[in-house]
Amino acid sequence: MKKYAILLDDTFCTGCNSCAYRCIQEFRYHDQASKGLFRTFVQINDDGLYQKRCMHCLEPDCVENCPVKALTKSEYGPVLYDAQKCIGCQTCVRVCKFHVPLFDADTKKIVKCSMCAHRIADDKKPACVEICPTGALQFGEYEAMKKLAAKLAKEKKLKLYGYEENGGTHLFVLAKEDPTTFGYPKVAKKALKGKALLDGELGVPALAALAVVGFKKYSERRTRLETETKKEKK
Amino acid sequence: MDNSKTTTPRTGPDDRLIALQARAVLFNLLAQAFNYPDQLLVEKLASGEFTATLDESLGILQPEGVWTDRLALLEGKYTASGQNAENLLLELEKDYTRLFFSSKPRLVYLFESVYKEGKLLQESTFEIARLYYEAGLNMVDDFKLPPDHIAVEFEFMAYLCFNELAAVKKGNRENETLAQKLQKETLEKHLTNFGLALAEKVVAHAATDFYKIMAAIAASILAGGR
Amino acid sequence: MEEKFSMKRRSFLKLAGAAGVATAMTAFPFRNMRAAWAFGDHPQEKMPYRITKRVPQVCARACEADCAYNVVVGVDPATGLERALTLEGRPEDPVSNGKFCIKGMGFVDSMYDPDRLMVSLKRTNKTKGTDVDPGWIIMKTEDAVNEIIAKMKTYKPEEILMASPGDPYTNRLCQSIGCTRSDQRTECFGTHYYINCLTLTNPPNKFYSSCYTPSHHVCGYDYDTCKYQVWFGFDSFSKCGKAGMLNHWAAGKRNGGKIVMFNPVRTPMTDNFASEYYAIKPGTDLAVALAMINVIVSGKKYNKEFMSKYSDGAALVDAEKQTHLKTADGMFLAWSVKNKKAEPIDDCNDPAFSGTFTVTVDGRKIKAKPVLQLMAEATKTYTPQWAAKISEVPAKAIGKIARDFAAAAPYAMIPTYKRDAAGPNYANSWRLRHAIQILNSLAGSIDHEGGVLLLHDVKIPWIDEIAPPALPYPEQPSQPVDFRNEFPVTDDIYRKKDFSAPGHYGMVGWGLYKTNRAKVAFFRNPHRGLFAMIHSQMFEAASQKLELVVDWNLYLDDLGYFCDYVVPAPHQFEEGKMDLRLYYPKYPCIVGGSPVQKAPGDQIGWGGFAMKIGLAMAPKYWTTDGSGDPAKKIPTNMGDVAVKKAGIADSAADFMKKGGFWIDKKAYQNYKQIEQIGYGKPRGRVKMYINEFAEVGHSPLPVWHARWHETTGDFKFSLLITRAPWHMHADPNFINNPVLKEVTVRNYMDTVWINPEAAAKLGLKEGDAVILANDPTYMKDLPRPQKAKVHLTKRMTRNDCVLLFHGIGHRAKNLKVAANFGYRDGDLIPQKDPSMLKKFDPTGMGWVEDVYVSIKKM
Repeated sequence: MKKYAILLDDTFCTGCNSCAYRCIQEFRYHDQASKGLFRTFVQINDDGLYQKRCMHCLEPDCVENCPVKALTKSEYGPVLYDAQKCIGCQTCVRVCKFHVPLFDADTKKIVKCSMCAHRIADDKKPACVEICPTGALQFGEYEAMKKLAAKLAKEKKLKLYGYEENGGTHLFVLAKEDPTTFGYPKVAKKALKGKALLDGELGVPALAALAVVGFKKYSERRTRLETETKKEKK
Repeated sequence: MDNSKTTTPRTGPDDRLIALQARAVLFNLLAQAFNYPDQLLVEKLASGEFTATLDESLGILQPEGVWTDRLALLEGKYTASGQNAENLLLELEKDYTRLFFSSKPRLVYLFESVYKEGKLLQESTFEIARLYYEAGLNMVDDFKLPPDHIAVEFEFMAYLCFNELAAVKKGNRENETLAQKLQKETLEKHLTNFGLALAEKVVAHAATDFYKIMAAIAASILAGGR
Repeated sequence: MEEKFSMKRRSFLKLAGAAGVATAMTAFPFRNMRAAWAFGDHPQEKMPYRITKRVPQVCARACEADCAYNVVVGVDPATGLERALTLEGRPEDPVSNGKFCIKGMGFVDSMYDPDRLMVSLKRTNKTKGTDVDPGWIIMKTEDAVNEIIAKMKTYKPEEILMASPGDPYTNRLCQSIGCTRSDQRTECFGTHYYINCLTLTNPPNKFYSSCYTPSHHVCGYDYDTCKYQVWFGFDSFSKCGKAGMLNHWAAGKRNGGKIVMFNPVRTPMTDNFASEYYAIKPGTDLAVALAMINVIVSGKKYNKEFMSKYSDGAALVDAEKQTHLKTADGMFLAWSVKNKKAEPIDDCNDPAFSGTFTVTVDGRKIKAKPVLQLMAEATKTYTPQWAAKISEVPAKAIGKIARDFAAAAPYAMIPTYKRDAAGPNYANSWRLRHAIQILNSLAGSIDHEGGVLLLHDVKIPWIDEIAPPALPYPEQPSQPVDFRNEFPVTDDIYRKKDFSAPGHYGMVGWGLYKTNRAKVAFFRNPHRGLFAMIHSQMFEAASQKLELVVDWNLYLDDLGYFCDYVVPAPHQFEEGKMDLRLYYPKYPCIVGGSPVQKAPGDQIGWGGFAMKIGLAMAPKYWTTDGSGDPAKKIPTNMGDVAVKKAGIADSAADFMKKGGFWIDKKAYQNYKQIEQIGYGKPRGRVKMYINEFAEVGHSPLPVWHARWHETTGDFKFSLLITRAPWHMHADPNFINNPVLKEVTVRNYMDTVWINPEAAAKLGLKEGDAVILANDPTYMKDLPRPQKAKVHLTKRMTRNDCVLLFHGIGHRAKNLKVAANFGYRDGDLIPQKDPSMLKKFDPTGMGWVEDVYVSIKKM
């Protein structure tokens, strides 16, 4: 099973937020976005551009603490969210060290990036990566992205974020200055360690099955959303 | 404005047919009311035909509310002698345009998807158009606005009621079921919520009694059908 | 069906009679629907709920890049209903390279904006104004158009103002009627356009097609391979969102190109794309550019090949008459060092770049100097030390930048367009634009790979080229309402060479308010509204005396409340398109777009509207034989002709069927295009010496001039204006989008930006409500101070300016999201007084930001 990651080279970002809008059109959550609930968003701060989005931690606190297993760590990288299981307790909102999950008070559900798991299953890059006009966002296999991130950090003397924060993530951020000086949360670094799941302890058929489930979940999304809307209306 | 208040609800087999017709007529009148006003509408109002028909159908259907006085008000206004038809029409045109197209801020939107999805031509538009399609209907070429216009949805309901009636009379169970299914879907998935939201706004913001009253009737009939 | 309905009707009546419901059926058959199948007879085939298609489109009007992309559309095959969902890149497009931006995506959603205008409106209350109920009624668009035309016919041509870009239809219309055309692009591109015309493009030329882009350029910039760029205010916030350029800037950065940026504001472009950054004093960029010319010319660091072969650097100028010496057939003369005489410049192998020479022409002895000699003299005192005092950029840096720039030539350039410092922001912007043209010439980067690329070997014709007028057009009004006649240099281009030239929109309000020249104003103005007008107070005040005001628009925006008729326009995705890749014209390329959907309402396209007006008001020019017979309408199929001539398809439809894209990826031929379009005969050149300016008493070479006026008292903050990357004027396509509003607010782009230290001196804290006002000395009529909130930010690197965001404040109160959002920067910019302006600027384009404001806590 391939594992994936996103590399954000902040030195190519201009804060255009095309990534944010493409994400909204991909998942059609205009209403939520207009309430400020973005799955990804670039904040143009004085000292740099803070792109707030799910880091897809190797050991996600949200997954560990979710009482109903609505959040799961997929074996290929993304932290996935199942709105059907979610009871709206907001534990994830409280435990995430990166302050990522947003709570939609109207639907009582969470708003969070899925790394476009449905597109990955379709052999496509995440929508935000595909659109990024400067190529500040790159997507690829986890190991390759990890190596590239470390290489660029060394060559261009850039600061690397997400590499060791919270025990490592699937989103690497490169920036000229320490990203915590312009919006990224200060998160304790832990040595990067391989997790059993990531090391491939699960057999191939099991992994494939999981991937299919991930994709199927998306195709059910529409129905799910409709149900949610209906509930809301009632 | 005679005996509508005193008409008792009917329950026999014929009564069902009559109620169906009344529904068809009422939805048709609502469709006429929420189309852009024209000469024909004003003529029907001036002749008293519009209000008389309205009165009859309300009498049969008995939706919640007291209508006699309000209908009398309308009848009084439009059938009074010495009324200038042109001015009456202009008054309706201005109110309609202000309410639905140019108020600051926009007071009422005519299209279902704006209420459901906040924009024009969204999923709900596709869905209601599918129902028209299932009934074998197309939009006329002259109708250029999105098909989830309130007047079109009322018109559609009128069409379905008439066809249910026709099917019942002919003993065509298949068409009867189809007509019922389509009405149910139209109301449950579309018109009830949409119509109630629209009517509430029209009642609150319309300047003319005509729109206020027609919206109140729409609200009452839709709420009753829930 | 008719019969079936009648049957039902009879049976109903029978029953209905019993129930006492009499005449219920009179409205049948239905008004809005028709039964294609008898009820229950419909075959109900199981069509897939949705299929998805991709419709090629080209972005337009949202920025200069015009990216090509596909619009992804969901289609219900049963009902034929369609809905666009998002965009998908077209990697083959040389401009976008498969990218697109947030604004392009915004267009997808704006097609479904609930506030878009779907019907024609007619005013019934004569009193105009934002807070007056116009008493709108709805008309069939066809009827509205006929009424408008009937009214227009009762006015003289000189009483009609068409506020419209110079598209092919409008050009034909205004020329055939003989009325003035003026549009808002003045404030965006005016200086660029006219300096380009006077130095390089020399209209009409064989490629020129300005109507197909909003910004009148024939050039793009080769950011990918350029090694050294200098940006004068080019790194605005608006640039941060232009995908068609961002992808090239990123390529340039990856290729190791360097960029020096001068800007009083530090934008994300500065953060991530500048190799050097200087917080220049607003309005003084000209000083730095002049010092760069001084360093390069005095040090003879210019590109000698370009100077002698492709420019007028060696051309002799009559020092007294301030005009180029030419042969009888129009070729420049140069001084041959070896032969010691003046020779036709193309035949001169060793032209002198310096010195004073005596040339005999027609027996008359003339004192003549090469242009480079005159330039050396004109810029002699403009040393880096001199410029440093004015601009507050260190002298050492200026000297080094000039030398580095020259050393990187011809892979060195100063890109400029739209509202950078050389855009019409200051009364001296035309001089800066001229200086930039000269610097690019000194580097030899014009018409060279890695520099300024010129459009070539491809053209879309104008209507006049496929349907020449049957007789000469009538004269344009002698006293136009925009006072363009007061500016002979630019007026000559508009009247005689390129009718699409930017009008003097910055004076339209003045003309309407102060004169009675116009009685009719027609805004062919989709999604610009009043916001596009500086100091719109004047138009608003004048609107009451105008007898007919019409707007053809996608929305009922703030302009609508001053109109008699508002006619709905289609969305830009609802129209077919044909576009040249003007902003990256490295290769000849044509790309087309197809309508994504039918407009959901009673809209009318501009081509059809213009044709109707033309046939009614100037039928001789709108029929092939001049007869006025509507059956003999002139052809307007410019797209067909373009693709046929290029040999790539039989017709535009055929072209679209083949995918709507064509490119010829041959190597760029350096300097070839200048020869074809430039000045001098038979080989064209860049003309750095603008003798036309001398004819009206201005300098033919750029010289220093300070801003229009100095600061006074509390009015000490230079007004800087930029746009959020996702906005465009007050275009409701974006302003009325609730998501974009949220993005704007979260990034503080609905506030006034000020440096924290400057704010502290004023006692201002983050989020304080303030009022911005003009000095009444410089805004005598109808001032309208603006209320706003402040944002304290270190991105403002100077204490003497404030930054406002253009395109947020909207007074169109019927637009749900846009209503009352932010402030309106245009209200703080005075309309131009023509008699004052012409003393400063022979193009008449300048001073949009040449304003100082006071800022006070409310």
